Amino acid sequence: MEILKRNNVVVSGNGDHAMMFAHGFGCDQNMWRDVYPSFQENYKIVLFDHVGAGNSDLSAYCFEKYDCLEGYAQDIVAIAKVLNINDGVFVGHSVSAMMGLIAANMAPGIFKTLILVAPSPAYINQEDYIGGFSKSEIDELLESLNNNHLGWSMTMGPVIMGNSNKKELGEELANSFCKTDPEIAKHFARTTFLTDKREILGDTKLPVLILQCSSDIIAPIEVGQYMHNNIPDSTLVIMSATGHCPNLSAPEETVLAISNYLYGQ
Amino acid sequence: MASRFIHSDAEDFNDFFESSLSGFVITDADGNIARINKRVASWLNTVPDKLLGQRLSTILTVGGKIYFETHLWPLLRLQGHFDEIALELADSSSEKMPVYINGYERRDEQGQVLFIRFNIFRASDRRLYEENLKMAKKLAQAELKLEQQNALIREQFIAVLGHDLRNPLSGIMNAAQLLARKKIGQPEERLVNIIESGSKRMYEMINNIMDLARGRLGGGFQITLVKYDLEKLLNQVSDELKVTWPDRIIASDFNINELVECDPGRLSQLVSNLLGNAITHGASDTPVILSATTVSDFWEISVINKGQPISEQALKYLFHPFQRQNKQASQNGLGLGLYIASEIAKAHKGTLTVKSNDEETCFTLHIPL
Repeated sequence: MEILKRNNVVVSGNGDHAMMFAHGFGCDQNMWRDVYPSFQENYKIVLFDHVGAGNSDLSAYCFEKYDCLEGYAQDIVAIAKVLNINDGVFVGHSVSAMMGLIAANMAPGIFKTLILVAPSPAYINQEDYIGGFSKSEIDELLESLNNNHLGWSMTMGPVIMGNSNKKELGEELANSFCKTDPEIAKHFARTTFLTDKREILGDTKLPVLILQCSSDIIAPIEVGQYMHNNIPDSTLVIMSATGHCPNLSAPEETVLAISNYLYGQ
Repeated sequence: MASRFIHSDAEDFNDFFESSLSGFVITDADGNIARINKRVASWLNTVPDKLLGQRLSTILTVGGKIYFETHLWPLLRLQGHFDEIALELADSSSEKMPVYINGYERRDEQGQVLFIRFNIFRASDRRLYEENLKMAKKLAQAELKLEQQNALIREQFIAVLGHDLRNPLSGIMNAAQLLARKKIGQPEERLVNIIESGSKRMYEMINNIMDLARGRLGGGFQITLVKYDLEKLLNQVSDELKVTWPDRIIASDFNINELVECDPGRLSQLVSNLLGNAITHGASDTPVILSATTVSDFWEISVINKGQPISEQALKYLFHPFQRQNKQASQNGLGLGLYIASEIAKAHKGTLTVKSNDEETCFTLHIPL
């Protein structure tokens, strides 16, 4: 199937119901590698890369489509439909958490539970809302990405060297996980960090688990609290894991929190 | 010997850690700063003690923080290290300092992360260098674009000029032909001959200029391939040249077994050009050899002449436009013939090559099947 290839969809595990894992900005499906195996026995595990990330088909990246989270949510729905997913569990990290909420609204029935890991509906502080960043800080991030001031120093290297013999060396040195095309990373950052989806939180009909990390600068505790207050059927778990990626930093705690929620229901 | 200078290993390490021109940071498994050297602190206009216990990302610009948390932290966990990453440090005055950072984890036997080490290198000059490169690239691109536009206009100009020159010239040629048929005296006949041959040469040059413009204006040579009798074509061209040079010998050596796919008009042009060159530049007391072969996977035409070899310098640019084989240009036209011939070869998906030594000069058209 075209879509399965485009999004580098990997399916494994047993179980009647699917558990779909969506990675966030800056990484790819590898970030779930210490989490999904714990659910393989009870669920059909669905991993994928967003178009533009990991081993997805970069040529399928469309700047118009992926200018908003709905474009990504369409892909999530499309993958779920191709795989005949009904009443599945959606696990979304970071910006993908909001994509999951949008997808669940777009196509009721594909998911019955949403698990949001370090989610945020809006990253920029506005009036009473604390998103974690000022507008000027996000502008600074986008500006830095625009000037290639962040990331691999040699983004312009291969063009200048033009030496195909060196390619092997380049590949060896390059980091093989969480590969990003600089142009796409820039655009994904814009889509992610300028997003404001607070208004859809209240429309969420499904039960939602929010996993909030301690001292996460990307999604501070106020954000988790805000989501919990605005999503009707939500449970907030504050993890002792720090940083923005508990799925990598504290996989055991993450697995435990998800299991407690799923099996305790 | 060196031990004289070292009071103790520990002190030596401390001195290395603190006085190095590079920055060193050690964090705990969660990424909180456990040790940081004076170098990094000085870059941040502070002292090491003030940074202890903070998350490493706090020393970065906001963009760097986000990049670190969303991309580098996952990389550390997934592959145990990251390498040569460009980031910026932010000090209290919000000056940004470009740096390169390497990071790697140490784990115990159970796989638990013990600590993470970061090496930080100042990259201000490097950044400046990169900025300059980027600027130079931009300028070069802009210049290239301008040049391309100029070249396009120039070539369009040539094409239009060539076309417009041909019409009045046709008139002159027709008039000269009509004059030649009239009863005119010997002196006038000589004048008419001059007009005829001069305008014919001019007509050929204009055709060549138009071919050049056509080849260079992106489209390349448009050819129409048909199955054709190569021997017939070669004999025709050879006969035409014999009319112009009645005292020269063109020896044929054909091994042609089948029809070939070619554009007969263009192929004749190519062969005529090669034969013309061979006659003009070859030794006048030796024959020019025209040979052709068709085999199962290619066909070839060669034109060989004796005489002075082509100089190595000239060989280099032989197939470029406006190359003349000797400096006295009068007999050489514009120097477009070989360029056009090689373009015709390319349009046939083949090659035109030359070998030249004291013994002979040989041009070969090779068309693979």
